[in-house]
Amino acid sequence: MSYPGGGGGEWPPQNNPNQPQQGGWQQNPQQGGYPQTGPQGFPQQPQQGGYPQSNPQGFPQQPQQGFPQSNPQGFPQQQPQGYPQQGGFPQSNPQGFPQQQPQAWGQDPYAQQQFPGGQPPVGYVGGPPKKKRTGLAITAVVAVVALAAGAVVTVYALKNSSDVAAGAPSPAAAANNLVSALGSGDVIGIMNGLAPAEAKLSKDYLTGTVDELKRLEVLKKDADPNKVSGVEFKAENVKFDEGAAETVNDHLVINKLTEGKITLTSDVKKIPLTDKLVEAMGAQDEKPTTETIDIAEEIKKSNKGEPVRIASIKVDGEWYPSLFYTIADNVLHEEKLKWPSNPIAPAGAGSASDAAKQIVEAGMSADLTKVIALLPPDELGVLQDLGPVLIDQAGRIPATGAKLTAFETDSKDVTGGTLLTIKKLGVDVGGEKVEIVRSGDCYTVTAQGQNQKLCADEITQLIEQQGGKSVPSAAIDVIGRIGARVLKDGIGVVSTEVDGKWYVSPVRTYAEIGLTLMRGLEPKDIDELLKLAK
Amino acid sequence: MITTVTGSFLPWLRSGTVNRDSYEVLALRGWAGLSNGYGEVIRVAWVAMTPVAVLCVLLFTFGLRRFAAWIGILFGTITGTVAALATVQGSNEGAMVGISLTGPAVALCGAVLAIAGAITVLTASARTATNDPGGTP
Repeated sequence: MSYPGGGGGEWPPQNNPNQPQQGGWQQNPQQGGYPQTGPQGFPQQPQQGGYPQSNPQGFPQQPQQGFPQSNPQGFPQQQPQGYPQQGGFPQSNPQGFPQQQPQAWGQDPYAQQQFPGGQPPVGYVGGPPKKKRTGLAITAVVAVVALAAGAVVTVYALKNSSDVAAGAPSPAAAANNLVSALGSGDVIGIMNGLAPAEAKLSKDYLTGTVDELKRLEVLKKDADPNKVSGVEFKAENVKFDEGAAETVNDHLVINKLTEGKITLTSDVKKIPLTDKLVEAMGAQDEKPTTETIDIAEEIKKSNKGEPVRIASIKVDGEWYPSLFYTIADNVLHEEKLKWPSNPIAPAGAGSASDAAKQIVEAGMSADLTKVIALLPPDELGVLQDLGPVLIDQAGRIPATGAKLTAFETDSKDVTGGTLLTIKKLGVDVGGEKVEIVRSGDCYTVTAQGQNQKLCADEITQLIEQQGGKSVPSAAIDVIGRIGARVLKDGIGVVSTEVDGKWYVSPVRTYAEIGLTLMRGLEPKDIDELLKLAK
Repeated sequence: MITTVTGSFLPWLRSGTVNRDSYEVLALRGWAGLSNGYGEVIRVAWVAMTPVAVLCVLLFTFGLRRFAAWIGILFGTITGTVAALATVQGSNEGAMVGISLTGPAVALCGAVLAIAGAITVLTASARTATNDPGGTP
């Protein structure tokens, strides 16, 4: 906004068509430039366009959109003094002094501003109309509120979604987290709270196993490995005796569970088993069963008053309850043995194949320490912690005397590691050389200068020859198919990488073998097995 | 959009008697085997839902209504797809772990409303442009 120059007279200038006229009586600006000819006594609408108004009295007029008023003669309008204004706004000054119309009438607010002496006061900078100011203020408030609310919600969302470690700051807290998850039947909380490597093991093979069971029509097609159904458990008032907790070393603490109730409810009908399996089990009419275990009573009755021992381990600064350590601790406790103070240090190999080769060599030379050192420290660190006790219990194992003369493998990525299957294996046992070479799904065994070749499609024929007529045809079919699958996929070991070193994982190896065997089965084999079971 | 954001804080996953909102579900991505780059991208994209909604409100407030409407359609489409998928998967009677319907259903309603509102704004803008091709002096 700019001010009129020159100073002196009134501000705004009188000849500004948009500004009020002199005389103390104000007119409203008009639009369109038509003379206002409204009926006397009635206020007129303000017009846009800025033609001089003809209301000598300066009575306020109502806003107008520039249409001609109902006075066709175009006479200047006069409004009798004291007439109330349209819209029910009474004139506050019946003597004809300048009046102000409510803002809502759309009047130009600049038209209302007059300053003593005809000039705006020093420091007056004008500014937008009140309506615009209000609008801007509302906009600003909306913007600020939206930004503030958005920031708060985003920070909260970021915090809640961060992949924080699921562990606890202390062994007792880890045990309590487990209890809390148990108490609310929170399977995800239980799984998430377990030692990371142990939880990963179960996750990695759960999906594959469920898929195979669905293919074999043991589980229904809609069975979801992430949805546990058919079993419910509830824990109440479960308490640990924190004062009795045993600290074995810097990463292992044994918590003592002393009281509480665990209620287990199972309903076979809710397990996603196929109808044929439910029928074979005779469970179609079975009702849900509920069993409640009072821990304190159970301790007195069958545990000689000893509390239930649950091990918590420290991984990357966080504490987790551990299934493997709990089993190991209970076995040790049962055998009245103590955790060794000097565990076997893990010693991984430079590659997956090297790890497999080293463990085979260590096995042949009965080097149990080397075998344990080659186990993955994340999954089976418990065996390294137990190592000296295991070696002591195993006693002296004589070496086989065999030497590895050739070791070549084929590798394939599997969930959580690398599956190594034998391509060529040569062993020298007291001067006798045996060699196994794989070519496709055929294996050639060379021993004492003789070769024997066996291919996947010959397995069934071999069983028929060896077993004669005593073996049922269905069994020959099943064994033949499984054997063929094993020869095709190959039997091997799974290596995993931990901190840049490679180790051999027995748990993953057994799980892979189990899956390989299952892949060799077909739904009709399950039917045959069910018939045999009947 | 407020409805969708509100829905994201309502239960999405049920495990026993414990309910988790969509952000707590994202925190389980390590457990679900999504602790790689993809998991982080999914997390950032879902958390960005709120800033996008705020941006949309600001653009609308400052008069950039068509732009705000297009962002609203994008917002509604992405969040609506995720919520619809979760809603479809949400029947887990008797299961100890399952998808909870509350969060996805509310988020889906919000997404549909956001898209409908955005389309209304775009249609109104198009009509205004047609009725007043020369623009208002």
